[in-house]
Amino acid sequence: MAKPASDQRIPPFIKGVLHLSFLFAAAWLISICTGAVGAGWWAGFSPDQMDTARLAAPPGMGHLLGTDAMGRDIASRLLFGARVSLIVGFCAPTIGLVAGLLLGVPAGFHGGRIERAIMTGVDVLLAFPGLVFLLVFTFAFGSSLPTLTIGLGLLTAPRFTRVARANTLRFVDREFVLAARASGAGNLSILVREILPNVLPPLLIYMLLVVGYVIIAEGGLGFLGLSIPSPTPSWGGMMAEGREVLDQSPHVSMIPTGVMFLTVLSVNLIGDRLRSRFEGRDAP
Amino acid sequence: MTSPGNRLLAVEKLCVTIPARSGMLRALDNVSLSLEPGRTLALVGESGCGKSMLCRAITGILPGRAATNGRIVFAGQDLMTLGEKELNRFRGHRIGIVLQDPMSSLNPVMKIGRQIAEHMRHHLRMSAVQAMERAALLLDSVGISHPAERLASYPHQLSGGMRQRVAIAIALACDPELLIADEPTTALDVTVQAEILNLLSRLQQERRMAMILVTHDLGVVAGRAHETAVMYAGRIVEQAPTVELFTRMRMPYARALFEAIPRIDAPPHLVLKAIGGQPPDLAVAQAGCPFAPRCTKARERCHREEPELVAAEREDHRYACWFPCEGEDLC
Amino acid sequence: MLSKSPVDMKMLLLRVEELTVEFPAGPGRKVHAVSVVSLELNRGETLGLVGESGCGKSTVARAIMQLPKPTAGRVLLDGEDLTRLDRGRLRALRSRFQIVFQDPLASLNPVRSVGASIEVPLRELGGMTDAERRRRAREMMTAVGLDPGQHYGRRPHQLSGGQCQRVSIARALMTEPRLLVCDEPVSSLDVSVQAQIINLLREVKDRYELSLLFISHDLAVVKNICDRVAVMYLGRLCEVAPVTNIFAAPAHHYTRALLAAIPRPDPRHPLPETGLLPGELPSAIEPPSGCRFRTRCPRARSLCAEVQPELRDIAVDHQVACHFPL
Repeated sequence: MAKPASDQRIPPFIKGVLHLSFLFAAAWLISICTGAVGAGWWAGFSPDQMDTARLAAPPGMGHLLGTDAMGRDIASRLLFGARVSLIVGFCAPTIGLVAGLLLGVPAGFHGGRIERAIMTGVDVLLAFPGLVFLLVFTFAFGSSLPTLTIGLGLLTAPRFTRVARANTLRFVDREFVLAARASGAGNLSILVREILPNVLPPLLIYMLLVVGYVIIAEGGLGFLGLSIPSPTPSWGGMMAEGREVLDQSPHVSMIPTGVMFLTVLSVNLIGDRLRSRFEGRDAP
Repeated sequence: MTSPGNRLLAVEKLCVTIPARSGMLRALDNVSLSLEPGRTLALVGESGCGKSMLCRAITGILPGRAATNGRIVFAGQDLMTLGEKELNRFRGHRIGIVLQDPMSSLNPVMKIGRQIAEHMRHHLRMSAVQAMERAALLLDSVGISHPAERLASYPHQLSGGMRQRVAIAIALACDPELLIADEPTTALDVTVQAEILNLLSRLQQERRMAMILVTHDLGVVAGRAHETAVMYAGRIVEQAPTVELFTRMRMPYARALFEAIPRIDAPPHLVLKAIGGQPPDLAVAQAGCPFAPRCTKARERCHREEPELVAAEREDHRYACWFPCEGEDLC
Repeated sequence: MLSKSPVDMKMLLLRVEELTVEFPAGPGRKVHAVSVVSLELNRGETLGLVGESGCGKSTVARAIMQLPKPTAGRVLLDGEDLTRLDRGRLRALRSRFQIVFQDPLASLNPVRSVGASIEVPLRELGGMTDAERRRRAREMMTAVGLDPGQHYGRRPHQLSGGQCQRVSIARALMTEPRLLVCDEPVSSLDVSVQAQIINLLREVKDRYELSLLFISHDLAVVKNICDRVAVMYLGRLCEVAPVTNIFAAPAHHYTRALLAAIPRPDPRHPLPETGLLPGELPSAIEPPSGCRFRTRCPRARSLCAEVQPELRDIAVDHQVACHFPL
């Protein structure tokens, strides 16, 4: 009695879809990034330019995605706004990653009192409501792009610390670390040469997840009016501004929402794909 | 050889292929064997030879993506034609299985008495009380002292040897006709190993079960199996009654395997006859005998044509080699 | 007990005195993993350390390597006590004693090429150019039977278990150590590969004039490669003797039980004796008083529970820790 092979537990149709969506995700992110970087060239209009003849106009003549309540071209504002989202979206988690490495890896490596101290601090920080922290932070330091990035970065640091510590613990007792010690390596050399290169890949993959969170967080802040102040466009700000004309012209809010959604989705899809590729190869 | 009517288990030309990243792995390649009630067959080979895959095929727990071909006839039924529900009547009931690592085959958060009892109640009609009583009897029959008290123990409270005894008790709970023991003592100390193997032999004789004993250790096989089959690269390369195999090994791999083992009776500092090279990549289809690249006796024909498993001098001694070894009395 | 004349001291490479390793196990309780173990290893000798799981042999290996330092006792390598050295001096001396671990894959950094892993000890030693290090690493790879052209840049998961173990051995030999500790180096390998690695260890020992401390639970392997054998049970030494003596005429009851249990690949040989080792391994947190083996020993008397037997000579170079040896 013969039974043919089925390639993977996932039926071929779904596998194809997943693959296609990865391509889409990558294409989307590349477009957004290119658009953001070259917003000056790509944008048809200046983000402040108001076309008073067409207020809250739907997508169509002259304006690819329509205009907002003040007649500004949505498509152009999206491109400029992308800068904020992407810069914050990638730089803030980077700050968190570095902080997580500096705190989490030594915690996992040394254990004992150092670990307890650091992880208790992490627990305390995680219990603190993030929004309140951001409110206080922006109140104290303003909401320019750098301060926003740092604030959000600090917010992500405790989680990174946990993940960094967990991944360090995976490797700290393995024989290859002992072997390095037997070869005469000191603590610093072991941390940098043995542990770090193994901890970094899973941490980078985790970072992609965090990128998604931060983009949404920035959007939320913008919605509350706490992000970069207007007239600088930001996706969250655009969503907030569209509230006034939500019944007649929902596209003013919905388009930036949709763009943010697709961006975060793309980041997550790529993160998933990278994770399955990396975790396949590595020893447990 | 036995008449077909007498056989409890007959595997006929079984092929199992598994898709993997590097290609299609031919885990089992045209494997055929048979087993009568009450007899023990040992499967010997190194990792990747297919012995564990054969056990999984018989119990129907192959990886989902595997492609199969051939028949596995147990008590007249072709197991390959059965669906999951029907297979469950055989698995754990008429075919018992003991695996290598008792720590992973036992549920760590369930008391062992309950694990045995639930296993029985799943397959047999029994009240909870009856099942517990029988569980205590089973623990006693596998040599665990104070069985009634032990029912309340968790696996981590027992030593490795005792856990394996519990695993054997579970395997035997429904009075199977066939017991498959896949490396049952590899993870145990040598002093415990002898006890567990003796236990298996005794239980097998008492219950007149057939047994398939899988191991990489030729020492375990001698004296405990009626018949031994040596596997390599997904095929059986030699099979004979155990005494016959040990005295007249014909296939060079079997011999090389035998000679590569350090012997406790041998003088110290003997340079071991290692087998050069490595086992073949199962994803790459090779012409000729799979052992040819590593065989010191290989000739041109060996690389070209794959030898069939045939019996030559004795009907019950089969081997797959164009230029078999001569000579007797290796031990 | 372990006295050596001044002439013999030149022959002595490693001397372990009253090594003790204890781990905390809850309030006021300790795991007595290794208790007062004393060993000697001469230059050019292979000493086997055998025992079953839980006997403490791997712990002894790691304690000798100071990974980490033992709880008590001294480890004298060429007369210098490794346990008393400060960190800097210990690191400097590490080039003289190296270790090969049991799990070949876990001993190598998964994100680094095996060639680079082999170079690590030389990098720590310092004083060499990159090119020189690479050259030596490649030479050593050839010496252990690997083709540097093919394997140098590979990652551990791309190599087989046997090849990974060769890499570990190559790495251990880079600093030209005098002592090589092998912690169950072949236990995770297939039979055919085991033989290759055992032969390789024998070969490198001769070529590089090493002394080996060979830890294993497999007595047949130990008999094949070792000159002398020490048997451990529950953290203590039972018997120490030259290899032929200990297998031909074991003096300790545990050794006898161990030998009797070994299966022989010979159908005409009687099956291993069971019943020589009844009962279970006692807990290492509360080991039996006196002789730790007495709970399973057929000859145990009241003296065995009261007085701990020390290693004493019963024949030339043959010591046993038993009140009523065979």
